[in-house]
Amino acid sequence: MLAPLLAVLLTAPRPVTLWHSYRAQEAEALQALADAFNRSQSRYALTLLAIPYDAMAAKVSAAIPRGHGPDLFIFAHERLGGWAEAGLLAPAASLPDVFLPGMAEALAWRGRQLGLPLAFKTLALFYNRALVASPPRTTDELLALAPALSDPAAGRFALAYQSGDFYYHVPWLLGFGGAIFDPAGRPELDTPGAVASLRFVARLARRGFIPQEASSALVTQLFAQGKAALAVNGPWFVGELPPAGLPWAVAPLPIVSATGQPARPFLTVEALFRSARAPDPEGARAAADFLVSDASALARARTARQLVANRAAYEDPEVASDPVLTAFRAAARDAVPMSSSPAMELLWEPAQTALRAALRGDDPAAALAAGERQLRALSLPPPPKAAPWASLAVVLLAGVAIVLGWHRSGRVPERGSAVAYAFVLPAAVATVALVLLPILFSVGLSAFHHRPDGGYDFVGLGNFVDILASRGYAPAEPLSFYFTLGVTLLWTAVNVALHVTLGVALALLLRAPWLRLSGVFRVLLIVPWAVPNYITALIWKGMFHRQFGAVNGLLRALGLPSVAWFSHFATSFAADVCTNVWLGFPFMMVVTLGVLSAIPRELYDAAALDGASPFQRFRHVTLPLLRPALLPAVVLGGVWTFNMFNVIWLVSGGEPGGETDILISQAYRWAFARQARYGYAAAYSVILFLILAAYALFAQRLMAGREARA
Amino acid sequence: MTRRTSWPVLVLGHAAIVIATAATLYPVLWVVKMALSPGQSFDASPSPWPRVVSLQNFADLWAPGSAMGLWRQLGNSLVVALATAAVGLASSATAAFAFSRLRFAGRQASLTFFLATQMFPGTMMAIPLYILLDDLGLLDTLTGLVLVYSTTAVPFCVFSLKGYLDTIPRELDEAARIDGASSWAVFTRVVLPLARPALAVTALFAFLSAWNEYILAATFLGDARTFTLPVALQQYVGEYHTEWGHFAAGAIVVSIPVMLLFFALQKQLVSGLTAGGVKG
Amino acid sequence: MATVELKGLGKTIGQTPIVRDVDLAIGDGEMLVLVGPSGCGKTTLLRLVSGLEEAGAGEIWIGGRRVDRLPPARRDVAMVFQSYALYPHMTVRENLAFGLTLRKLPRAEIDSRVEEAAALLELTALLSRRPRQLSGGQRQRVAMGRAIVRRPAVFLFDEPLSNLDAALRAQVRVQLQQLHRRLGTTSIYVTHDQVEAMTLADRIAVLRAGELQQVGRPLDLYRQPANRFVAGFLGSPAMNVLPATARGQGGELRAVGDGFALPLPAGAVAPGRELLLGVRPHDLSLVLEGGALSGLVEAVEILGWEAFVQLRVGGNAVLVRA
Ligand SMILES: Nc1ncnc2c1ncn2[C@@H]1O[C@H](COP(=O)(O)OP(=O)(O)O)[C@@H](O)[C@H]1O
Ligand SMILES: [Mg+2]
Repeated sequence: MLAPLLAVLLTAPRPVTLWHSYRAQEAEALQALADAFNRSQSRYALTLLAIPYDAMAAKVSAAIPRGHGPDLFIFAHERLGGWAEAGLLAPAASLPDVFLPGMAEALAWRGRQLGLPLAFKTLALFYNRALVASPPRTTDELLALAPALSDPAAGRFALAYQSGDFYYHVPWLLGFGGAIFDPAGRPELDTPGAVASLRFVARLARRGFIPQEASSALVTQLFAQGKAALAVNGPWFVGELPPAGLPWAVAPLPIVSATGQPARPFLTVEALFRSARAPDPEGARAAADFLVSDASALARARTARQLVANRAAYEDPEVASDPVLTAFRAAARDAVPMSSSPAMELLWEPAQTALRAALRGDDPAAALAAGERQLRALSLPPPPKAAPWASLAVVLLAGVAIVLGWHRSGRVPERGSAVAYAFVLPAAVATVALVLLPILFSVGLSAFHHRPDGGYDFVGLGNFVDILASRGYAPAEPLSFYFTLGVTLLWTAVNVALHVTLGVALALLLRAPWLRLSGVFRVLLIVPWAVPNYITALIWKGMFHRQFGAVNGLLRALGLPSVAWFSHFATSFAADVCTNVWLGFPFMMVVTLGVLSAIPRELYDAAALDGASPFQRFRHVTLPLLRPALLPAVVLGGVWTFNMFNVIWLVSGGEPGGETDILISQAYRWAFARQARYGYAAAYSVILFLILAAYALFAQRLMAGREARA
Repeated sequence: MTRRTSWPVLVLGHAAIVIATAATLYPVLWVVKMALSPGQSFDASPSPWPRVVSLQNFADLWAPGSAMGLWRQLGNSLVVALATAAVGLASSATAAFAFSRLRFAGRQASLTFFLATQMFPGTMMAIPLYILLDDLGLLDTLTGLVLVYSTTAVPFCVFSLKGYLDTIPRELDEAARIDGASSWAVFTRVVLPLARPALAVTALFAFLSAWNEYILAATFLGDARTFTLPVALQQYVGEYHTEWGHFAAGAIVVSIPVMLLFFALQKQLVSGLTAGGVKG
Repeated sequence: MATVELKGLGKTIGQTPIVRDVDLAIGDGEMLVLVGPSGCGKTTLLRLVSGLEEAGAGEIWIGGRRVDRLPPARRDVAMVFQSYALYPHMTVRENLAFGLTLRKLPRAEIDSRVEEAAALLELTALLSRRPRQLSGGQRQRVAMGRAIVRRPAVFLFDEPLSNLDAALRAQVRVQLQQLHRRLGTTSIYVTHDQVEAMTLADRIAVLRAGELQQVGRPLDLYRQPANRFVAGFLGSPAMNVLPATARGQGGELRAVGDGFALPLPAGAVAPGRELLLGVRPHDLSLVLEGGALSGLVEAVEILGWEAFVQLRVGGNAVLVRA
């Protein structure tokens, strides 16, 4: 009986899981290879799981240390350093000498090979053969060509690329002789080459050779419609172009005439990483070897047109005859592997800030100096380690004070409380277990510094001191904590005020007896509620686009000048507010409708008989009844707005230069975009919480007062 | 009160509501446009109408091997959202009753506590919640996700329901008590039946919060079979390239059940959400 | 079977005493009417008895059982609220049956009691309606029916007629009287309407600012009010009150005031005392000459079935039934 069962157990293939974010053809090619691997042997069964790209890095960081991660995963090499320091990655068993130069090297960390290259991505120059016979080989040629090809008023540009994205600027930066790290290996921004590169792109922007605020969608649209003759883009661009009717080709990026150096894009290596916690290293290794083999690479190149990392694939006649693959293969020669050091993470934000400032027309040197200053502020050393005892004493004292204060406030227990506690119990248990514990955890975390290697140092109140000291920025400067706090408060107040005003106004309109089709309008007006806000926020961002957005289109139609919405604090803030008001007014409207329907008609009739005008009826009947009833909704709405991360992140993204960031988006940056400073982010959360708790206490007073009067 | 409204008021009022509705629908129409336009580009032109209409993007959602196996994920989302609404309602209804009707030591403090839990930024709770779920062995399960969503749903439900219960005349439960009802009987036989609109709306909110959530779901679910709709939808957003057509079509698929719920619960939506109420 | 005894009952909300040291014994089957001006604590007192409010001091005994620590459900009382407090989501039948279902009475028993009460209150045709489909008077009857079906030891009424119009009120008052006679249940009836008090009460208790002023049979209170407040509160129009001083005059004791000197029973008070003389308008009559009081006519009120004349006697206004 048992023997056959055992045999089955022993021979059943052992699972090997692989996480990836591939889509479409690349995903299909990978699946085909996994199937091939599973057919080729019977000991292991490779299964694939597609994870959204956005979620992958966080998920890997969280899952692997706790033993839930995959055996293998595919990701760009840029996170290598952080993961390596945290001990998440297992070294490769062997490194076959089959890869293009530079590929495997990008995956080495402190002398160990921590991943195997699968494919690479880099930038090249796409050109429309109908508009330019041969692509410009130098920047001077580009500048000479550009005036004839550009007409910003008609939406035509010589060159389209995501000029505000630092990744796309790197080719110019390096081509002009700029650097990203100083000789000592520290990130740096303010170099003569960087200034020259910013001057160059600022000129392109000023002369109208490139579109402003170009998103990837806009670049695609312009190039696909023949409104941009050239585009700097990566291999993924091919899939976005129309399959027929557009005569395009790919060439290497031009040489920077000022230095004679080629524009050098970043090289990103898509690597296959093996988890250090993989339960079955043998199987993971076998699968990895299979996937990076020349045969697999060839299959990927042929079926998915992937830019594979293996040399041999490019000798295949079919691949060699693909102009896109060969062009990118050539472009890779000038490319520079992106640094995978955790320090690189800190560079993006200030670099982008400086870049966009220059594109807006600020002085490039000044923009870079400000960026450099931000970089220094972000890279300040963590707070010093603290002695736990001193801080523990502080915490204990605070606890005692709170308990005493509680006692002093004179709460008399009442009879019949037992029943009440039983009623509150289910909600209390759920909340305590699932909210209070994580909150306490975060509060604890706020006293630690999360080291890049995954360890924690106790720093006491160091994180708080650090935050409150604003990292060297004066309180009124845009990047200081206090400025952000002010923006947050303003954000909350403006939004809530508008939510209430608009909600009440529309509810009153909907309740007006003379309004036709009020049922239809009511349903249509709550539609914003139904559509997930992570997509409508993106739509709104598009609507505020400087050149192609609907809002500016409307302004132009009205004969008004168009506005560069994300270039100034006030307008950028207004765009955020607009989006959030759109998202939030239906809630207030519906609450108000509820309250209005509960006001007895006789009250209005009585007031009308007393000779009150409609406005007086609103002031003296509706408003006094509405105010207390709306209070809880206003309080909750305030809290939600205060922590409304999505809108800020997706619409303005903090533009210009972090000025429209609110506290929660800052906290998010520290946790997920600046070296995983979890402790620091937790300290931010605690500060947020304290501010809101004070607000809640105040609101509670207001509401309790109302209850007593009711 | 049947005085005739003067025509300027009529015209201005209707104009205002039409403009407001148009402004409200415009961005939504864009989503529809992207979903109906063939291809995956983000058309930045101001016109909200598609140039060419095609249902290809919707068909792709259901295509075998697509990022959204769709039926399964639709089912997962439905299960998670319904369960969240059920848990939220079940565990908050009694508490809302106690806060509205019973006097007990620590009442004010607990109310403040429930309000305060709404204030810790949810985005920042992902890491501790991950560890907690792991210790409970609930990672990668829909049950775990429901628990996580309940954390925000429960306090919200408590507040929303309490607001409504406060509007139900106290004399009704006093009458019931004299009639011989225990607190439980007052709750189940008098207060709950009267709170039906609020229960419906509160459930709708809890449902919505779970239905639309993406970040936590993506973090806590590690098995494609457990993915919810928004997670599947987010797979169309890549590192360099977003498949706007699919993304928009998916967003519409996500929104339709919510719209239907809105339609179905229209009346309750208005009467059940007094969030505080008017008491004489 | 059920007597109600209140011993030293008190209730303070915050710093304000609402009910103060009330001692009251209500006999089995008695209808005690609690009167007093608005805000004097009548409702509160009733809620103390029902258990909706917790007593701050004192004891409550119902049918020989101390109940002040018991929840309302276990005190065996039924209450008719001023606003009726009918359950809006239940039909009339369910409203009536609710208390009985909670007590898990057999189905048949419930039905028969409901039918009986409905017949008694002429609600039979309305049994399947909801409260919002009823008129004010019908609602009021349902509220009473809800109390009756329970057959409790004590009925508590909190101004049950105050939401009805005058004609209906008079009609229901009579019905109430008959009902009480028929059921003979101990009742506490709160009102600020003295007509209700006089017509319904076996005994009246007058409450003022939370303190009991006087308890007694209606006519006793009418004739022998214990203090000026009770004197002024009962009777319509209100009693004339004239300040005077007791004086011995020629062997006779007289009350001498501004513009009058009236004889007092011998030895009633010591001479020289300051007095307040209370005289009901109905106990005075007008004569052209030789009356005990004399004054100028200031105003005449003619109601049709009777008329009153206001005289100025010295510095006082005196109302006289003509
Ligand atoms: N919950 C309460 N808080 C404070 N004062 C109250 C409360 N309930 C009643 N009172 C006060 O107690 C007094 C007596 O009220 P009540 O018993 O309702 O009077 P009545 O029924 O005789 O009109 C009133 O002055 C009222 O303001
Ligand atoms: Mg009263």
